[in-house]
Amino acid sequence: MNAVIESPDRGRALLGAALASLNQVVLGKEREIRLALCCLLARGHLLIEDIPGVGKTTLAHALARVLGLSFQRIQFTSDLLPADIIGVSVYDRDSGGFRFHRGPVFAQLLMADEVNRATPKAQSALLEAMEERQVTVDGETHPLPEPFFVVATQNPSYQVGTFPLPESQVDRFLMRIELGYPAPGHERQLLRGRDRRDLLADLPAALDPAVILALQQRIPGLHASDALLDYVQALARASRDSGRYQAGLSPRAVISLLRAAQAWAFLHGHAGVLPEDLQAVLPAVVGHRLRPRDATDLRTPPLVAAELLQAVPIP
Amino acid sequence: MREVTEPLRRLGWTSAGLLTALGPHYLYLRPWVIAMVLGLCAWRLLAERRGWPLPAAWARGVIALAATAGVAASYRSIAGLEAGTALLALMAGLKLLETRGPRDHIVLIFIGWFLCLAAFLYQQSLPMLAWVLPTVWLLAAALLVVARAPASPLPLAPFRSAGAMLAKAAPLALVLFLFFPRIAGQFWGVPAADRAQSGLDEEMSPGDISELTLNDVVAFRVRFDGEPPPPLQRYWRGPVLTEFDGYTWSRPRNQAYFLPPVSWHGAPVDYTITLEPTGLRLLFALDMVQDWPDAVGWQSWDYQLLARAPINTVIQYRARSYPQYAAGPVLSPALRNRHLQLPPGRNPRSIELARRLRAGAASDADFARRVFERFRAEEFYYTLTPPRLDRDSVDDFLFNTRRGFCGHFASAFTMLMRAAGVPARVVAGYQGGDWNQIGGYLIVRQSHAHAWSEAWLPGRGWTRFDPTAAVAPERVERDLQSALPEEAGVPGRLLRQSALLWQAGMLWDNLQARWNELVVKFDQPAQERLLQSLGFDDPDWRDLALLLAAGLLGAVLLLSAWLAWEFRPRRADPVVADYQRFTRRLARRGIDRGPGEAPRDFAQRVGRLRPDLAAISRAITELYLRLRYLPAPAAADRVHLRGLLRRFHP
Repeated sequence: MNAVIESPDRGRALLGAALASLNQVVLGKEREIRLALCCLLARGHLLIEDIPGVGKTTLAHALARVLGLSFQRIQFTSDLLPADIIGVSVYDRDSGGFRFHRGPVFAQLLMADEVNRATPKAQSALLEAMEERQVTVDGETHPLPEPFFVVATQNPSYQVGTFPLPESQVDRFLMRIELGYPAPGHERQLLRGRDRRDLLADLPAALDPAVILALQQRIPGLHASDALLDYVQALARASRDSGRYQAGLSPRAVISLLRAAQAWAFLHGHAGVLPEDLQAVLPAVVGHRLRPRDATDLRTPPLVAAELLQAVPIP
Repeated sequence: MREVTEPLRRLGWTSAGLLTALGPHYLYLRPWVIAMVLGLCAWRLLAERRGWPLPAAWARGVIALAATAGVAASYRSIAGLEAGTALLALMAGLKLLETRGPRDHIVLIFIGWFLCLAAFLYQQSLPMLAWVLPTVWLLAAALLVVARAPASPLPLAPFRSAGAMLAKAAPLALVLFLFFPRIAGQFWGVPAADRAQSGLDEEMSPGDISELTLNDVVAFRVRFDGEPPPPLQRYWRGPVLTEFDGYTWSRPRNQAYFLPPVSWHGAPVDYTITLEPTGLRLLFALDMVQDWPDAVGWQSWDYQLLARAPINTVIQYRARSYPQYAAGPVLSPALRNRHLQLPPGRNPRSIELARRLRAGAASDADFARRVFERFRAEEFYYTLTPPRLDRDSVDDFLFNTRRGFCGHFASAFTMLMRAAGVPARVVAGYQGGDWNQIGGYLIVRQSHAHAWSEAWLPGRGWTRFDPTAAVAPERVERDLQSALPEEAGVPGRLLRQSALLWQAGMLWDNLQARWNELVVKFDQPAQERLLQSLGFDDPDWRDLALLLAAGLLGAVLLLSAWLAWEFRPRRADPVVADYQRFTRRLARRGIDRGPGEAPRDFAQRVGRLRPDLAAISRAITELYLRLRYLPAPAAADRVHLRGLLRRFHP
């Protein structure tokens, strides 16, 4: 444990092993897996948005296995209630009082599947827990386990029967990624290979919660030079002043961007954050937060972010 | 608390600007005008808040007509300074009733600026400036609020922006002030018929001057070239009053005589007078004036300086006087008769007394001395609050009340002289002055107003007699305060007794004097002097145009230079310059780095396009990243980077 804190290389080696294991299960999604790990290291939550069947659940499950985290999964439906997520107080006849039965939210890795299928009431119960990292029921506060990492999946909002997350809720996810269809070669491997569920069962844990907590604590201390902070601020300013977006990046988004870039730099063995680290995470971090002012602009969030990157010179 | 909507916000700013711009006019406008403008303003704000409809065009027309009629009835005119300002203020208030878009607000703000300009028509004093400058600022901020669609979250933000804009415009204003051709004559001096005048007049009744004494307002300021003359010689000659109706002394109208010659003795006194506006043609000079600018005024036969035009603005003139002189050695019979004239049947007891005294005197001079002695020996009192006198004022004063101010004594003395056959007249003016040590000049206030007598003596000509000096010598030798008993209420006594207040007052007066001399009095001759000091020997309008153009160009260049410096590219890190050498050299070979292209991505692209440069580009990029983005960069890296760059010639 202490070794991890003292030596970043040891931590990185462990992360490298975790990445290798994950890549065996989720094929050809190396970049997305790295982003997911970064999100975890930056103490953020992850939103995966894609059509059903591209491996969102498999990725979340694999993460839990490899990272050695306790796993819970909630399938969001339109009749899901907040109590189904956070738990419920039940009268206990023996003790003569109420006893709190913990809901599925009390897990280190919580998978919220198809989060936009539930009503806003149920959604907000989850999102509040994500933000506060604790749950209050009947005036009693129950802290959530550490680390606490939510992987929410969402169907594209144009599908029938969805309640799209409002902007303020989307902002609580550090990153939003898409998985997309696999490349032909990887798809062939999927077709030939073993069932992913069997693979998951065999997956060894490469990390444990204590190591993850230690690594999480390292991230904010990673060197970010003034030149890089200038770049971060230039991006923020451009998002606010250009007039192309409905709203610019909030300070919370700017901090998230830096943390994610620090995590990415750590993962790649950089002693300080480089512009490329920032550029690597930026589409995932800001894509879902910037909405083009022009309502007819139907580009996907990553394209919107790429446009921002092209427009702002690196100072 | 309801939310402040954008139109309400705009209306608030515009109204605040307009009401502030009206500020100086509140002193001059009729109360009903002020009440109506304030009422219109309040109604408009309330209407905006409550969503009331604005009055229809016909209703506005009726109100406008009524307001115009009101001004015409109240001021008996709709032109001129006061009526014009009243009309402008009312129409601005009415304009509020039809403010909808930004354009209406902009019109109102420009009216506000015009009202600022109009305020200077009343007075161009420092307090006025202190009011108008912030008002101009407020109006500029209001214009920003009105013109800019999205609201700024900070309430003071418009002030900051407007202040920055005005500061940038200040050099241009200065250049225009200095070099814009000045119009000869009194552009600002609008004759204000109903402007409250206080000061010496061309008439004097008993009690006039003691009223003036309550007035601490500055009449004029004097800067002497050398030492100022002693207090006893500080007689500032004003209106010379020869006509007497038994009660009031006045200046004769339409009387022209030759100017009796004057011979001067001793050392001259040279000085510059800065005269506050009076609306009259009176100029003041130390007795006896020998030289003054011909353009400013002329001297009448009784040695009084008269201006060529009414003084409606601050004017400044140089003069030379000789405290020792002999004026009018010969008196023509016409003049002698004029100066012996007395109203028939008035003041019989005084005439009787004069004849009796003259019979016992050896000469005219001896007679004057005897009258003086009588004033001194008998119970005459010098007081600021003399009792009212009846029709035969001199009789009443000499035999009943015996209490008087300088005017009473001068009037009585002059009358006695005339009754005894000695030509005499009353001279009104100022005596003394407060010495401002800070600025080194003399302040002559209305409270220094004085009246004395002049009598013509054979062989000596016109000789000054100051009967006040006989009764209250302290008045002439020091000041009014010393001449009156402690308990007498004299304005400014507290001020004079507190050294600190006195000093502060003098400091303030010095500021005002500087303001008058440097800014208000900056006229065509002053502009010419400025040009001469800049090396133009014979300045004319072409030089002025040249300087104006050069000055404006200079101000714009200065501003541009400052802006260029303000928005200069910040390149604090020399490593960036090194890296730019790298990218520039590649750009010359057709490999341009995109603005958002990360250095490593760029290096890779370079490697793909020019495999021969791949290694060195990667090395340079890595060094650059290490120096700029990684912790604790080593000095050796910098040396290495520069070495690589020296060898880098794609």
